[in-house]
Amino acid sequence: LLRVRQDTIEGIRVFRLEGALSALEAPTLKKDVRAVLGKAGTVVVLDLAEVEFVDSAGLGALVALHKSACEAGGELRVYRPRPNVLAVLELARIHRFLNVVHDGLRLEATEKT
Amino acid sequence: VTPGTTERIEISFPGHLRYLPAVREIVRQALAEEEGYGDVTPILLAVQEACVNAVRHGHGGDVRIPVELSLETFPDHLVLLVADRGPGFRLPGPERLSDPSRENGRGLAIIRAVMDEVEVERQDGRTVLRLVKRRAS
Repeated sequence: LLRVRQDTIEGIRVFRLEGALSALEAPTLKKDVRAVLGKAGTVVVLDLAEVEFVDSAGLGALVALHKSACEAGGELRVYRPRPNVLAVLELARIHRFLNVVHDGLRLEATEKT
Repeated sequence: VTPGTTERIEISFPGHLRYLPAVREIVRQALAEEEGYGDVTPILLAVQEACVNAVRHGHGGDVRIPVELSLETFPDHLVLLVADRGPGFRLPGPERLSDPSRENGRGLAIIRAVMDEVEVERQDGRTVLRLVKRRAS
């Protein structure tokens, strides 16, 4: 189960996720995030700090949303995944394909560009 | 599950994804006192991928047909069995993880990456995925 809270911080759409991002939850997340990705230049942050579990369908959702964001002329940031979640991204070899951001400093720095 | 002894858990659940959080929690609890497996996230991931595969491909969408999972712990390893009523499948090789832009199809390759032994067997009209994880000594 995945709880999602949405914020907008200085024009950046932030989805704060809590729980599991797996086959059960991935379709709804994809739909919700794609709904805000339509405009060129849109930056979406998926805050994974409270996500404790991700499976291959969850990874697939992150990849799909990253591609959707790029195609729309925007950007998707995967923000501060936990070590066990980052390990799964690395295992699947998508950690460099995605835009993974680990700290707020980087998030703020890229906000200004 | 008492550490180091042989114990067995069996779960049977309808073929729907909504049961998988509970299945993962049962396996997590079963391994909570076990030593030598480190962070159990990879084992829970293998359980998840095996069950999703069974739900999606093993039942043709008929949730009345159960997915069966068993977990048996031994002194030096554990065995997970996940059985469905589908026609079976072939295990992909590690090259399945070589394209980071693909949006699906990683599940079985991930299982192979995190478990020590992975086999698909046909038994009495069932397809059984047999997964082994060895305990670190």
